[in-house]
Amino acid sequence: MYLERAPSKRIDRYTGPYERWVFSEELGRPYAFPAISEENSVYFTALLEGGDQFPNDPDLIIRKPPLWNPLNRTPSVTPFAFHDATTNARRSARAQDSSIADMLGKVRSTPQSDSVKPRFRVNFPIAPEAWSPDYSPHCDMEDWVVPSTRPKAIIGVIDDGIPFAHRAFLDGDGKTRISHIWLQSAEADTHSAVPFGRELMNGNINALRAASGDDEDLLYRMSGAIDPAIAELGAHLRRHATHGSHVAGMCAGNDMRVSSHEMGDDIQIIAVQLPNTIAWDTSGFGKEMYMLSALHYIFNRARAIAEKYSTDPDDPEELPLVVNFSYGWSASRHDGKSEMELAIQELLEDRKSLQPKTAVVMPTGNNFAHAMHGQITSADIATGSYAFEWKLLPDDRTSSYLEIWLPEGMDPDGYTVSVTPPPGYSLTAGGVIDISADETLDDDTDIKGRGDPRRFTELEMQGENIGQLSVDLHRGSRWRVMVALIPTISTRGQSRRAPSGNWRIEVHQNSGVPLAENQQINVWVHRDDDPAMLNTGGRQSRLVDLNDTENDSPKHPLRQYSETLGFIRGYGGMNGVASSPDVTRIAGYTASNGKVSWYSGASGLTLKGDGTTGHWGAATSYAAVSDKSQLLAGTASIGVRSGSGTHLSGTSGASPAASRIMVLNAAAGADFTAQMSGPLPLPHTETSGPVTLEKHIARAGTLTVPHVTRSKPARSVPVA
Amino acid sequence: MSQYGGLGGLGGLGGLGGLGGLGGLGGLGGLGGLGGLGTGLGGFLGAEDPGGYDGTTTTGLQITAEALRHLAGNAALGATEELNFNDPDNLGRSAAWVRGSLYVSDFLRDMNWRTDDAAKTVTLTFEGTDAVTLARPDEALLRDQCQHVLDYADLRPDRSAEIISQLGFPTAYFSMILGLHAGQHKRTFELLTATQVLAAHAAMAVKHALAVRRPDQLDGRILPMIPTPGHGSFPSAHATEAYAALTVLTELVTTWQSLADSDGRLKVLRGLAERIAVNRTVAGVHYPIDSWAGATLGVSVGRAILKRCGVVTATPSLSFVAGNSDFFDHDFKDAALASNHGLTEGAAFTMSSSQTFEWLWTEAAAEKQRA
Repeated sequence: MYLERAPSKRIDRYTGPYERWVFSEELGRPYAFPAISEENSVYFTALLEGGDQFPNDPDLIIRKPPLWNPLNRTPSVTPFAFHDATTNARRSARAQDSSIADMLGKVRSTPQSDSVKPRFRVNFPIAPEAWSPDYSPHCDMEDWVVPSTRPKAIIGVIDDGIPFAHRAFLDGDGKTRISHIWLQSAEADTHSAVPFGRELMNGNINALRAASGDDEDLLYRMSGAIDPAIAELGAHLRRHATHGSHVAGMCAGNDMRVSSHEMGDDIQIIAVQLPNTIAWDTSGFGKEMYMLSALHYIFNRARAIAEKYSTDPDDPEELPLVVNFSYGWSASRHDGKSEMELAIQELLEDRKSLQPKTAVVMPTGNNFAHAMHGQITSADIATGSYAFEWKLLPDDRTSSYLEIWLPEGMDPDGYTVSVTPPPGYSLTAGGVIDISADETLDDDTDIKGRGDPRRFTELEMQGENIGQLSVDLHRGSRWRVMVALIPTISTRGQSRRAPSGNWRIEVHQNSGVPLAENQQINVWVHRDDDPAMLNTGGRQSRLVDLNDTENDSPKHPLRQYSETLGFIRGYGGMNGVASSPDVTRIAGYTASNGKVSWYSGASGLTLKGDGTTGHWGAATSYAAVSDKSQLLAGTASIGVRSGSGTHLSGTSGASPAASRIMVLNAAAGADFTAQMSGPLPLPHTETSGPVTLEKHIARAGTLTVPHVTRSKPARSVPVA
Repeated sequence: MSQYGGLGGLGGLGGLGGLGGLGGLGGLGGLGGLGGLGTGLGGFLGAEDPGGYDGTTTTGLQITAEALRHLAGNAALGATEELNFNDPDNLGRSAAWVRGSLYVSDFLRDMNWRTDDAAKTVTLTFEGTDAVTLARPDEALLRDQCQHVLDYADLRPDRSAEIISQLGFPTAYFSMILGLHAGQHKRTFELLTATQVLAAHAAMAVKHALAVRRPDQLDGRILPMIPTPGHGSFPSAHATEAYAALTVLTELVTTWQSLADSDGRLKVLRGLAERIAVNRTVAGVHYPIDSWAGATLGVSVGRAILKRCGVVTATPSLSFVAGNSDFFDHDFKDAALASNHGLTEGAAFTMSSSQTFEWLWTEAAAEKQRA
């Protein structure tokens, strides 16, 4: 049951299902990132959709981060941060959801023309310490020094724990090649050209290196990159290695571990270190603003560098730019129309019109074999309903999420979805939802039509909320059914818990119009593990096929491909934020045997009535090495401190290999795909059937990136 | 029946299983490895002590003796050369554990401590002069320090191998940095072990007086990854030993003048001393201020040992009153920075040289790396 709140304090009047879940105390808030669940921030990140008109309310401080928009487009999505100036306390004691509702209410009450009906999506809060006391969006480049070699291309890196003082990033003169880095969660400087966190330019990094001697631990403390008092930043860089050290080293560093394709001094680096919150909540919610701001920042500062070399600083010639973004989540629309994907596409289209050599490189994800994607065809639901199970593991200490996406344009009138707990348990309230709008959420003329049509219900056991079942017409174009469940163990001071076991989820057609033959309903489970060892206690839930149809995995021990597709399949389990048409998507393969790595995400495949398959969704672009061999998982790159190394297995480690080759090509004046070879050959252990070939393309893409390694590889990929 | 007497001794074979334990008394390897014993004689315990032979060998020797003794004849004994009286050269003839015993008693005869029960301070003295004064941290400060301990717990997966292999004296870690080898640096290891043993004795004396609870007895969230030792928290004996070792080895390497890159190595050595201390906070058994107090004590013990060895070195007395500081060597090694954290210098203490330690230093100094 959702508690009664005054209309102006109801977060669900303004926001979508994830905001309602994460910020409401009686729902999922107690299980969120500690900075959210244990303290109330009054500084928030958010996205504005459908306009660029921000309210002019003296009580509401709104900050736009450094944006890149030389073509003066009205962007579909604009990242911003906001703060209620009437609240003096840095961390407020007010109920989190109602304080956000208050702030959003202020935004709404600002008169705007009827034609502008912006939507807001609230993201994760900002640590008060990181809020810049004096923000000026203009970057004066005062701390920037001209590199001794004129840059021919720029590599961007967005990641966690980036060891920006590492020797791998020095040029031939011993000066850093990191032109700019934005530490999004570090304590703010007094004056800043970033709205929160801290920016360091190459002059700052060189000075820090000189001041700290060879003591890199001291350097990171002095620079504010290590601060246990800020949970979103923490002491991540005290660790031996981080995700960001591996990724940044592989795409931009010179080190004995990645020495076969040397980075020249003519390639400058712009980096953004995301908050830890990003890796803590693997569901995807709440991070878009940080991520989108990071992309804008890199584009913006790349232009600032170009201005320094231009005769016409108002119209500089943009430099070739490759941004490596080894990050993602699993559940989303997968059609390129999510907020992030639209925003990335617009940025890429605009910049490519000025500089064709512009790329954002992302991994295909690591969820191929985790039973996290299922597809319901028109034939599956021909009997009037389709049921599957969602398996939650015991001792899962974080919320679990499942999303069901109806095909775009489908009229869901009459359709319902039911949720039934594992045998032995029953819900005392909730459990069935109509796929239609709840008109009572939109009854205020002031906000009418400004949110997506939506409906919220709670799943209750013995009077306590253990879950939320919701529907929303996402961005006004595609219906989503979402199930959120609390942890399967009593944790974080809460007595309630969701039963572990197999939850039955059933889609009912009832009186609704049947699916057309070419329409499918797609199901995705959110990532819920702990990749960065942040002690989240998450355990990955998965789908269960009640019909036990053969899934992707063939019975033959050496084969990767079968000639069938079941309900559960890895095909379509692509990184959920990488579907923008112009994004470069990188799969991972194993160097020793030339096979796509077992976990590497793939683009969508549908089995048609005639037994052939059809591709859907964004395609895999290229394959790069993500594992040395089946026994020696991962690839080598740098650790946090100079001289140290690490191994990382996953497509996150394949993507930077592609980024490195692409930016080297760009700096050399070659095509992005120079040095790449044709598609990964079909392994000789496979039998070549039509479905098999389609599956191989969906996994391996069309080109193969050379192995970025210690030395020139002795041999290329085995030929089938 | 006498001819069967020897055979009767064979019955002792049954006891051989128990003799296996003697293996532990064996060679000098123990100097590096037996660190778990902590104080007392540390790695010296039993080193080069032959113990007894197994029953078969003992019986065999007796049978051989009875068979061959007649060959020695019955002539009167000639004169044998006497050992020099109280000559340090005799030290080299002793078993290692005997020298270890001498190092301990030779040093401790001039070490003492006194307490000020009103001020709750303890002062370590050498030859009656004040060397180190530590003030007991109050309970409120310890509570504040618990947050640091919790923050460091994040590094446990990163450092568990180090933490577990540093439960005793981390001699292997010092060896790694300085290129020490059992065959070439016998006395250097002895000096290192003696230093760690003496540092541990000094730490135990002041720990006992200061009687500070471990973090896990204040904060139930600490949940240490190793057993909490059976002595007080403040100062850290690991920090004391590591900084004493750092002090002595730095002087030794400087005396050697045989490592072309000794500047770099000595920086690594400093980093190691800091890391050994911090690892105990990561493990959840020490507050950062324990490292401050331990490093302070360790440096002084190290200097006292150097004085005992006849090395010229400054010996300012040190006084530490803790605030809520995290521990970084960068702050500790710089006197001006350290004073911000409660560490101050005073009048020098004295410590005379002794022939035992002078002998040890001369031997270790001769073990410089050669081409």
